[in-house]
Amino acid sequence: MRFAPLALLLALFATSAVAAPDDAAASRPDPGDPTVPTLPLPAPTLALQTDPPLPGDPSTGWAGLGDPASAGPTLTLDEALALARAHHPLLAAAGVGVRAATSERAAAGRIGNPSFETEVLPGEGDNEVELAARLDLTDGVLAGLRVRVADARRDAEQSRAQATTVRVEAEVRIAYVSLQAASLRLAVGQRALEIQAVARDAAEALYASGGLPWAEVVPHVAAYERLRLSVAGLELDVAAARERLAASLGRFGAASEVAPLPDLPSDPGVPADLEARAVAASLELAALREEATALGRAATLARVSGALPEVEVGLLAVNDRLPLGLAAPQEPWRFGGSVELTVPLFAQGVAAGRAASLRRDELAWRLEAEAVQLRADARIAAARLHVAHAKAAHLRDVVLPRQREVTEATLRQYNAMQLSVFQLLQARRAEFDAELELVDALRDAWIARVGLDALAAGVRVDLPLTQTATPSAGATPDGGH
Amino acid sequence: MDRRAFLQSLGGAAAGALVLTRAGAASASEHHELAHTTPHPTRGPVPPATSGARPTLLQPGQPHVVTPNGSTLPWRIVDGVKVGHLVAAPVAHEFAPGMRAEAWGYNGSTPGPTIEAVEGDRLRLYVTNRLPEPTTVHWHGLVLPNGMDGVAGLNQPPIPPGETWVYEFVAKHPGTFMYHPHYDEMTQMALGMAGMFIVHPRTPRSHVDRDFVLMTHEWKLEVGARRPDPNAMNDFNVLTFNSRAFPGTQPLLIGVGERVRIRFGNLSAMDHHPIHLHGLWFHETATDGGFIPASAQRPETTVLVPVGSTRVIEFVATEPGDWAMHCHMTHHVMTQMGHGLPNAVGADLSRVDHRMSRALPSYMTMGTRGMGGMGEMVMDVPPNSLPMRGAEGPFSYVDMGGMFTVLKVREDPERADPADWYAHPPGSVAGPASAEALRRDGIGA
Repeated sequence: MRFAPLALLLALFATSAVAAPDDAAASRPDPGDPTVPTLPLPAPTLALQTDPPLPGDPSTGWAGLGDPASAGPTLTLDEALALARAHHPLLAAAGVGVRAATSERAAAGRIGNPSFETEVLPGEGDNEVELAARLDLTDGVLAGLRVRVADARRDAEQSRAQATTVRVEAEVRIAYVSLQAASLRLAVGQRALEIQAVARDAAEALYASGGLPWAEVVPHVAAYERLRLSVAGLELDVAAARERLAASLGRFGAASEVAPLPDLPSDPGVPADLEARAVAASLELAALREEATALGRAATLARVSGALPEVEVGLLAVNDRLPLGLAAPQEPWRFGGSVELTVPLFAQGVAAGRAASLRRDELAWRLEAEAVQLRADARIAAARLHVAHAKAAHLRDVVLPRQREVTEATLRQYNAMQLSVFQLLQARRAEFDAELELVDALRDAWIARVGLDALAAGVRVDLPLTQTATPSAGATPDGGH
Repeated sequence: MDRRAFLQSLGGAAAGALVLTRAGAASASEHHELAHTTPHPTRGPVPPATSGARPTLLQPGQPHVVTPNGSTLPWRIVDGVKVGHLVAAPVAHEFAPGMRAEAWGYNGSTPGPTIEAVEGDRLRLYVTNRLPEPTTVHWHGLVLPNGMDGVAGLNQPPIPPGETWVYEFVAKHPGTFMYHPHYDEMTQMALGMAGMFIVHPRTPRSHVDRDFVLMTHEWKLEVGARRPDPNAMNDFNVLTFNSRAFPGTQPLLIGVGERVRIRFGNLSAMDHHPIHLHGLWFHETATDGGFIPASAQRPETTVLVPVGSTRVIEFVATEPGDWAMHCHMTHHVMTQMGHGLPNAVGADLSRVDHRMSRALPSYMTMGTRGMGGMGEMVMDVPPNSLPMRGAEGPFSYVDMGGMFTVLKVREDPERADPADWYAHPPGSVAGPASAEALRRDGIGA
């Protein structure tokens, strides 16, 4: 029983070594568990149903934006960001990483435990017992250096965690804007489909009355059927964008609508000192610098630990006649001390220190390369926002109004019996094409804004490639010429 | 909703009033620097008619010719020579109220002033070119010295812009002739450069009370455009008498029992015009080649005026009234009608209407029940255009436009108000059949 306290201590160590993960994570449904329920898969596309509903049809179908089957409550961008902060696994992982680095720092500062040794040599009636306790003094000297290394690594971990936060929020904003744009594109596509349905109906009515040959009708029918495919693609875009938004929030199985895509501010708002700001705020560069610092300190640690003789001091208690049981010793204990010195004749830590120094230098070069790239990315982001903003403004202020003028002028020519209803519908479809271009441009401008904001906050974000899908599928023949 | 149904819902009177207002809103006056003799329209959807006063006589049995909507070239007598001056230049022309064009003409108008001479006159005609390109004048149908014939390159060099050249010849033969450029003919005539040239016989062949000239022409003026298109070859959409389209044409006011002569010319690019007169028959008495012997004249109600020709008719109107006179090619009385449209007659477009009420609310279906009401539609059309327009008549809308005018035959033309419609005697206008009449005559309805 003399060793009972020691056993208890070992048991405690063992328990702490297998500590349970964060309790907060345990309260969420596990996406890796296939039995966790989620929403049913999206229904077959509305545009390709046998008799597709069209906008405004009172019975069913596309009363509003997007796919009504998966529509949920409207989610604001701020709410989305709050959800992501609360639920995104990567943010939780980043927090855990910082805590781990902090723990590693604490561990680095601890001095090595003393060692105890007992030697018992049984004799006849008495035992010869020797007790020894030793402490490595060099480890205590090196602990301070280890803490400095761990400090730098913890700082790097914190920078990476902050970068993760910025990146996750940027991805939420991108996903949100993408869903906004996809929903708007679908709404425009649905209206274009209705216009094409009018062309088809008009052609069929004129054929039924004997006014058109079938050869001039079927292109309108075919164009309508092609456009259904385009609109089905837009439906898929909405569904995919909605899923990407949910994933960016760290959620699954939850559907929601988003607020309408907002108009542009009058000014793109690109800071004149964006490049300097991006460099100063860069969390990526900061993490690299801190990693380099850690490597530099690790080099120092390696050199010092190599050059420093390992000094171990000890206490010794010897009793040559210690009877069994609880009987008093036959002789008094003798006490002494020990000093153990390891002379660094062969292993002086030079190679390890040099390796760490070289790793630091390597990192310094990488950091310079990253800084160069960051400056270029900052200029690209500024240019991208300027161009995207200008393009959207031009489409909004010039192209779309002109396209609407085309429709109005075409309507007047139709009223004057100079152009056919098919040419009028074609003008209207061209107007919708311009609306789609505007939606794309607005989306690109807002996404460019996200990229620029993320840069100013210290992170480069991979922006999605721009997309220019136009559902225009008007029939070439107008039925009259 | 069909346009016709829409109009019915507005009420015919209201719609008619709107059309009247629209048509009367535009300016109807023209200014001719050197013009005289012919009054200009001053009021109403249909401009006032030519005066009922008898024109002044050139000689017994031969009044001066009247050019509705036009003028006659004035002469100055210099040493026994009749001296005239034509100025070829761009002109701001009005086809009808609401439709103007940047045309080319002579002395500020298209057609140019009618040249009126007498057989044997020595004529000296100065031509000033204020066009942006060279020009000449060809005296179409006249027999004259070869160097005066006006064909650029063949008979003379072209007259450069800014220069004034002179033609001089004797009007040897009487007849109804024309004048027009013979340089870049396609462009210059398509833009309106043409005029009538009358040479009266020294001794009248037949005595008439009134003598009119009408130049027929065809133009391509895109709806909403202002410049006639000289490149057009087939699809002409503005057809004119004296470069005016109904309701811009001045009616011809004549008296019952008067002997009337009408001289037609045709300098259209591609089309002949069968001109039909209602309410009378006539004899064709001359062409630009000369007089037709009485023995060769046939009674007609329609005279075909070929491209590049003149035709002269004479008649005595016996029935008073407002009589139509028009080209009988039906598309020549449809102002600015599009000819490439799908045929919607008989189509049920109600499904289209339903969808379009959401997709394009200002859209209206047209032509499913015929096109008779098109001119009356109050719809937003391109500015400076008269698509399918006619004019308000005494009973309802006259849905003809273009090469259409009215021959107003009155018992007392000199005191008649040229703007008035004919007052029909009671019981002389067609109307709904009464049940009694149907029964009486065994008509099942």
